Amino acid sequence: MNAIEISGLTKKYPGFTLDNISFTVPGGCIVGLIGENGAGKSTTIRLLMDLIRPDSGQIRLLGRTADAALKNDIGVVLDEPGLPAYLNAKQIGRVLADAYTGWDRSAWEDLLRRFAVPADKKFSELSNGTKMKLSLAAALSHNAKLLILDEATNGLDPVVRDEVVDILMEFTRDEEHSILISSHIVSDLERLCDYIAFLHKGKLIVFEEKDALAAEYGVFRGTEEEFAALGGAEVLHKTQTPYGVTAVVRRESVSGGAELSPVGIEELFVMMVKEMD
Amino acid sequence: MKALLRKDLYTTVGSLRMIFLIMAIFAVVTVFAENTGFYVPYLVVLPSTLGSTLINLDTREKWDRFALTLPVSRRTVIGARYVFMLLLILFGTATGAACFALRTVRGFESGGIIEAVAVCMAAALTVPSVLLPVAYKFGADKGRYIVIFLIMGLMIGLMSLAGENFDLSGLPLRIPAWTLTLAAAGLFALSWAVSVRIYEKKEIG
Repeated sequence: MNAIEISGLTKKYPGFTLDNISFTVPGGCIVGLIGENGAGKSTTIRLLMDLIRPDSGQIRLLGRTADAALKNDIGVVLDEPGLPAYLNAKQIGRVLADAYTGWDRSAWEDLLRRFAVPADKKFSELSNGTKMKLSLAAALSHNAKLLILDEATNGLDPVVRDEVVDILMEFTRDEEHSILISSHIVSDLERLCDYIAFLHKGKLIVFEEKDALAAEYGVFRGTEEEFAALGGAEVLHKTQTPYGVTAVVRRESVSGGAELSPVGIEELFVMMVKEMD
Repeated sequence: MKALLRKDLYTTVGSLRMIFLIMAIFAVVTVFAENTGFYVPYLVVLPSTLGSTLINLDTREKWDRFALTLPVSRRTVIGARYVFMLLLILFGTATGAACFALRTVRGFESGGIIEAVAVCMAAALTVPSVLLPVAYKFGADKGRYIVIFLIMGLMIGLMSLAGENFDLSGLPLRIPAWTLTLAAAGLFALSWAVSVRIYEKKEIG
């Protein structure tokens, strides 16, 4: 079963349109939603959570249209956590225990300890990183089958980010568990994701398996003459400096024995944006 | 709903405790000083004014967005807020009634407690009935100004209609106190339904 199915999703604002987006998050997979600021990542997530209404299109979560009860199975971290400023972690835990049928108090306390979140400090007094850790702990403590995370690694230091990535990978060891995670820190997603959905100015440019993307494209580095020798290679983007040429090319379009190095998702993403702008 | 009520309770106790301190001072003053009976209506009405403050906090802290990621419907979000307001109104009414009763025991009042409390409770029910739907529609800050302008507009309209003969003293205003409370309760129920309609269509961006 697909964890998320989105088809033809459109939302119009003055000056911005999320335009006819379709993709799926297969069960047991992690899909990274990448794109520059304002590309439409948060709009997509708000539509998924029914915070805003689409102009057209369909959304199915865990095989059905979303309703209140279904949200027991979904853990959410929004770009701004939204937890009450005057409540401490203990009180937030009690509120969430009342809300979720599957609330796991020991998992919650365990995560708070692991993330070093003080139990008695008001939410407003926590650092941005700790606020985000508390939100993640909340999303991971009610036996959710699907996590929807909007810029959830923002504000975290590299050590904690690494730990969060490990926890998320641990979460998807269960085949029923899936994650949709948006971020503009592509390096996190590169390590974590099975699929990449790339949004640019409200349009879905690429939805592809991460490994397939890496296999499809390669980076050429060489002199201008060597580049010219590539002939009819399909070039995604080319940068020329006095020291030579760097270009992202489609591997299958390159004839001969030109040597291509593997392309990182971040590099690919940056090149695609530059090419389209 | 329990989760949302608990959150409102913690927020009210944690961030709005000054209101309860003011209420405690008013309560003590009204019980011990003879010419302070006019404070009692404040005691009853004061907690009912917290509704738009809570909506304002929800928006500022983005709790309104987070709440909709919980397994609750928009109808339940509004239901919890109205139930919480009702609890605050009952708390204010009970405090006001206790103060009236103690003032009567001390000889400061000569009866009519039930009628006085009923009228105060009607006022306490009316305040959130007007404020909440406007705050859900336009936001708490803008909503507050809209309500003030509405009341001012109503007053100016009435006065200009009445012209120079603006005098209510001749009108037959002998309405039984509990009729006012019942009418206010009806208005509260209507306001609840209107807020649900507004919130079900609202985009929480």
